[in-house]
Amino acid sequence: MFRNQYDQDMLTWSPQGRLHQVEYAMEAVKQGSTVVACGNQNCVVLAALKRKQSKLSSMQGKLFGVNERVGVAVSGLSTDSATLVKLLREESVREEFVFGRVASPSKLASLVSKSLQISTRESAGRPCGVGLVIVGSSEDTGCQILQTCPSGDVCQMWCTAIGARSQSARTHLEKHLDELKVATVNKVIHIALRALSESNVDSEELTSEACELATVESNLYVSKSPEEVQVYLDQL
Amino acid sequence: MFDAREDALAGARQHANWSPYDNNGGTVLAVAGESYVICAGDTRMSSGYNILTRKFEKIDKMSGKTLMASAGFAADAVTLKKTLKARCKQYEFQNKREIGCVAFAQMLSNTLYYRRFFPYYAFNIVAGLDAEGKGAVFTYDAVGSYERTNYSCQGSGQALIMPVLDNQLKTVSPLVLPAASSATPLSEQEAIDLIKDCFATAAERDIYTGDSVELWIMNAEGVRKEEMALRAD
Repeated sequence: MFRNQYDQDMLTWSPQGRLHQVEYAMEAVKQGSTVVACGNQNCVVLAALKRKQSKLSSMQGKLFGVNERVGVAVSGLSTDSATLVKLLREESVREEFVFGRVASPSKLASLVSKSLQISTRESAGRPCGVGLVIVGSSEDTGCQILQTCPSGDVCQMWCTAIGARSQSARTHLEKHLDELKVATVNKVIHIALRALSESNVDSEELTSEACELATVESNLYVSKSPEEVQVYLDQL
Repeated sequence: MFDAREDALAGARQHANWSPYDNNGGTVLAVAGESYVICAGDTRMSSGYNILTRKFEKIDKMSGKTLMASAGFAADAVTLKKTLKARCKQYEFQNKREIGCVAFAQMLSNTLYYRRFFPYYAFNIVAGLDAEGKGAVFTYDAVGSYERTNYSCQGSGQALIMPVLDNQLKTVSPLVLPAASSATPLSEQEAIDLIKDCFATAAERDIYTGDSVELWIMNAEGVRKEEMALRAD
């Protein structure tokens, strides 16, 4: 009932102790198309549904390589996400320059989280309407999945799905959680693609044109080509 | 301090008691062929009459088709390479492909001139394969003036080696008509042998060149390295 009074700007709390602008920004993430991430310490898979703005346009990319061991999937406002991906990539270049090492997923996630949180307590800007799923590997932790949201919260996940209709994907992943913990990369890919297809509109079949896939294993982030994606889809 | 003031009053010229630069010696060279390029450098790093290490690599791969070799002040050369490598990564993100050697050559020139009034004390050679797969060598001065050539030599042994390269590799001017290729007609193996000879010879008379020479050979198949021992004295 009082929601509209306290949601005009970033600097106003509601009497219930909520920042409505941040919550509204989180809704923007749910507008983006689905992203699925799952795996275990040895390998992680990122899968996403691509959308196009119109019949005449190209598909909007969802998966981006950040450095040789880390990749990120985005869901939400694509222009906001471009800024965050740029931030991650520039930080990776800086890490290489300053420390001579590959930036780890957790360091990158903390950095993004800091930037996201700042815009939740300043009136000059607005929160970024993007949810990120950062996947990668580092020497001390193996493979990791880290999820961020417009509030600046960072969560490490066993597996996750964000974006439109992602609840169906999450349910599918929860059912296969124990399997995922010991699966090899091909099995993880199959589970990820099945989870993704659960979130597809009217449970339509996935096509390699509309589906993007990437893996992290043996310390390498690799983006799959449409032909490779088709091979996995055929195996489903 | 008092002496310096008196000296200045007397008209004597002041000299700095510290220089930001050092010369770590060494020689680098590169030779371009029709379908290959070879970049070579000795591995000695010295300071004055001391050898700091016998295993210092002066050559690094900057992208799939580009090698960069530097002689002079090692700290500046290393930092220059680091800075450019970071820029190459940014280029890849922005252009969705690796940087080519001609673009890299221009970028190095700009980076050097940016520091026109406090230069990188590095004498550089860029070696790579151009868009047509032909060997390319670019040679620089410390502030970024550069030129594409077929062969070049920089560093302490430059004066000893360059005349030999001129004698063996100089071909027709690229401006002469009818157009003739001015790339070295030597085969890859002949060029490797020539380069090894040049270093062995320079090591005889140049005290800053020696220990070993590493050759990076880049062609359509990729990059491979060869190494040869030089005089260690």
